[in-house]
Amino acid sequence: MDTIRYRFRLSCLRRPNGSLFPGLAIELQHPLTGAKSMEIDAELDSGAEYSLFEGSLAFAIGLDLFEGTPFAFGLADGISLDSRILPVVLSHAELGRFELDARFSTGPLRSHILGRDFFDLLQVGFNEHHSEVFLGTAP
Amino acid sequence: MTKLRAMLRTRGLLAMKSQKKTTTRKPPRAASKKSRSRRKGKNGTAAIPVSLHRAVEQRFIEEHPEAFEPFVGEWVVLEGTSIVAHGPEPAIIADKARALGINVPYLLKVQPKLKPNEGYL
Repeated sequence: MDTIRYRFRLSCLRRPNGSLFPGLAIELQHPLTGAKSMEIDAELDSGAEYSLFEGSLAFAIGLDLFEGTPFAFGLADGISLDSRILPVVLSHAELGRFELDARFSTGPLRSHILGRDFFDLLQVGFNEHHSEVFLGTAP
Repeated sequence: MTKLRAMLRTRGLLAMKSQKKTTTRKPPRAASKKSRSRRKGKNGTAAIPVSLHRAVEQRFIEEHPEAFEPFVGEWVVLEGTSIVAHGPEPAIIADKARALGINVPYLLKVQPKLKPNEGYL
């Protein structure tokens, strides 16, 4: 039997509107300067191929959204969501620092997503019944 | 008795005896190595410590959803149990928070409450 060792477990996060979701409070940083960093709640979504953040956050950490390479997401209902690819640093007090080519939407988003490109950097486990998420650093 | 002690002390026996006594005494009970967060969890995941990152803010969101109702559709900066800035532009409210000495502001977008027949994909 294979054993996975996790470093931390955390309860699912609560949105201000009361809904619960498996997520992580993570710091978003400019990849070069690190200035104007901010922390946001992002949903851990194993169904998403890539991580996606609202474009206004790119501006907020000092990146020019429209300098990024265009990227279109195909959603479940077939609608396409326009985004730009920009390098960022994601940082967490307990998990460490991760460099990622993230997608930033050109319009508003309901929530931010940590997709499978982020899952490639660490081990993630879910316990939906107990509303818990497990995280380990070694993929 | 005093003479006996003096004699033993000169031969080094009393010191040895007291040293032995000291070493055989049990040390005070040390605190358990397991922290509170490492104790047995409800689902048997006992050994995995609980992350407490932003735990204060998360508890506030859970216990005081009414605090966010005036800011539906906006971004807010939550620091501890205080909403320190709010507005439509994250860059602007993050700068306001930094002006208050908060180096890494915690930003949340306040969504409207879901109806019973609504959910997220």
